[in-house]
Amino acid sequence: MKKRGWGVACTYFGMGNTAKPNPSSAFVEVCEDGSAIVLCGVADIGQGSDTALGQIAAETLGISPERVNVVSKDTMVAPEAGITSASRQTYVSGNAIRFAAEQAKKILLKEAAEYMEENLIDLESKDNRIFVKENPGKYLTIEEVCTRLRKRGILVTGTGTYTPPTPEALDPETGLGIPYGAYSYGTQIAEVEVDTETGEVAVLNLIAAHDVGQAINPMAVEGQIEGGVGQGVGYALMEEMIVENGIIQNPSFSSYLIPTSLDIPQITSIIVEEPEPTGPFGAKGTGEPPSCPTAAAIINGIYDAVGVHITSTPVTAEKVYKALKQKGKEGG
Amino acid sequence: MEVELLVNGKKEKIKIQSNVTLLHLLREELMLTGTKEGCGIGQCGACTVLLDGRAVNACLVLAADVQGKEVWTIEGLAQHGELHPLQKAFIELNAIQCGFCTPGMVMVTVALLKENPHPTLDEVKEAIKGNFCRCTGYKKILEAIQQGADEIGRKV
Amino acid sequence: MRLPKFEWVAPSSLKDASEILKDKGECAKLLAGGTDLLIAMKQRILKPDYLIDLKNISGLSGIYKLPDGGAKIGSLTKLIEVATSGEMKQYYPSLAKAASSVGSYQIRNLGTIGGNLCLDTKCDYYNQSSYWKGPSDKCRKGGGDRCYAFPYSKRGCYALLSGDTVAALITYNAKIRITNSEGERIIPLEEFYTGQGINHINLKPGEILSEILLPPSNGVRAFFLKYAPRNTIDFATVSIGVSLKKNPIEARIVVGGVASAPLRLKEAEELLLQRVDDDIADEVGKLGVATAKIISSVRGGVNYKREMIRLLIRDAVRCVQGF
Repeated sequence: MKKRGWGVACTYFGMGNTAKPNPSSAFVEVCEDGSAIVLCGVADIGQGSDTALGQIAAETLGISPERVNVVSKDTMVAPEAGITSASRQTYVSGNAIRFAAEQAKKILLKEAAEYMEENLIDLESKDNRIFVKENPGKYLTIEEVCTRLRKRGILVTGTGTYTPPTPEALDPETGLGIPYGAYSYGTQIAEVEVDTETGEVAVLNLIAAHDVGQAINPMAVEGQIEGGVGQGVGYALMEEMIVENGIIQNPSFSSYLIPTSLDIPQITSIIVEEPEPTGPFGAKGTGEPPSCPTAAAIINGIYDAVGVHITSTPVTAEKVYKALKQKGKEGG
Repeated sequence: MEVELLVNGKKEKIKIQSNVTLLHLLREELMLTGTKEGCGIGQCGACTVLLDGRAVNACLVLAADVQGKEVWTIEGLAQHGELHPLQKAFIELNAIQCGFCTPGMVMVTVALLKENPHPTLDEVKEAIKGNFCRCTGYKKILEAIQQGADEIGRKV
Repeated sequence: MRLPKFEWVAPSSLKDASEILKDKGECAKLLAGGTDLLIAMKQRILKPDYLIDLKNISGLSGIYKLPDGGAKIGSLTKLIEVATSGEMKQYYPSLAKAASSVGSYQIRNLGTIGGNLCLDTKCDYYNQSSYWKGPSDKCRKGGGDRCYAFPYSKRGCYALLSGDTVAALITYNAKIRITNSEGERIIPLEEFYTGQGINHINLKPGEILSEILLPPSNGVRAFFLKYAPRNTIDFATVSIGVSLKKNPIEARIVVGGVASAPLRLKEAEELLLQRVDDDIADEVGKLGVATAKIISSVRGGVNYKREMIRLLIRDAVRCVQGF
């Protein structure tokens, strides 16, 4: 017989390397034609940092995203941006790029203010133009401003650097301290179906709500949530590194099992935006958090369905079967 | 030995050793590196290509066995500078993250849609079960396949 | 992963293939779909000097109806063809189902039914790469005298046979044609397996499995079930075939994937023949759990496998009942 249940689990996850500086730096240049180049040594491994970081530069400068070129990965030509890990790139490199872009923007605004005889604070940069806030019809294109500057021998560049505010290392004895500059929060709810005879568990639905501060690129954020859930399902139900005498016994895809298309539930992502004060436009990372609460939600769902609490992963059919048998013996 | 075959519509004649697989022939002799080696043992599907119209793991095909056959790889999909509807859908719907599984995913779908132009979601899941993805959780891939299939259906 | 060096020969007749095979003996392996052999070669578990490729031999592939109402399947017929053939789906549906449960779409487009029947037996130790095994003592299947699956055993090899189509074919009472350069013989498929993990199939030097012969299936009701960790491309933890036949009445219960040969559960079959009613399914399942050594593997411990056998037999029997 198959029984269904629901399980909930929550996570909070720190952004950046733990209790130590992990800075990123960036250079930004606005070119004569009004396009921009961002140089930042961040490695985009497919999560979409090139896109999101380009968007941060574009938003800051007021240039349309397709006119921003991100030169990344190569620390021979771009400043270091640290590791692509620890869910840190949007948050840390995003800030570095924002600071660099703001520096470059100051040069543009100052020039535009002089030429248009306006006060600096009355100007805004958006859609490739610098215009008077109260009178958008009065504007200069960014290209025009750059050309003007270049005639006077001024190039539009900026430098930015950022490290999360983690002022102290953890106490080596107590472990206390401030390990992270920002935290991401999430809740996942899993609907599972347990076969009471074989112990097989199928995850039917997984609803994942994650607070990302500000979704710079919502589609990319969804991709991270869905991918994290996929990994969470694998971690919960099938992945196990079997080690004996220091040797991994299952080093092959046929013995270390990861989820296939048939093993993934229906995933619903909910992007929660509670702006992070220290993040670029309120954004923070979402690389790792989505894979964290999944196993707990699934295990809680199993408990709801059949009343057994599994306390180790992976929750194989055999484990559930044994737990059910034990429960049956105890008359539970 | 020498083997002659059609790759993406072009005739190729290559000298190979007997222990060369189709995967290595494509990647190392023809420099068609779109097809990836994920595991080398036919589990992950990253090396999926079409062999005489059938989706196969190129890592398990001897180059010697493709004499006179027709192979299509991901590089052969775009025609006259225009992307294949599946490629467009994968890009539009963010079904590509690291991109390593993508060529195999797209090629197995091309094979599926030849046999079954209007697959149900379950049929798609079944067809791509031999293609592993770690990044996307498969959701956007499934959506892209449906969108690509709809687009191909509309064009026909 | 690279294949080791070998000489590739592609004879154009079964007779030539058989002669080369006989001549080269242990130095040669037959190549059909390659989905089993090439993996073992990449892992350096097997390093034949010669690969005798059967794919250039005409007449080894195809599904044909026989005058008596049965069917014959060439051993080089791809699994995808067996899985999707209208003939198979209509007259031998549990074989079509078994073939469709093998591996992935891509594997079924390469793998052959003959290869599936001859699938080398597998074990968590033997099927590690030679790099992994390193300097450790060879197991018996590898030419040494240890067994890592049953460390206290004095002899024998307990590697598992997990070809999915085996159980289904036996439930249809399939026979196989074995050909060599001098002639051929036809035997029931069950007699193909020695029950040993080493040299698990009964082939004399130079012999090649060329055809599968199926008797007419009218009057047969058969069901196949496979239980695997992900129900996707995994080797079966357990596969079950059950069939009931009228005129003359016969029952077959076959378990695959838990021993070096498929297991016929004769006592359970007799019970099934005696009473074909609702309660029997459960009892048949209980009785059906074999006493042959079942190896635990990453796919499941021994007791769990026994339980799965019981459940699957019960479910399969329910499906063939109402007959």
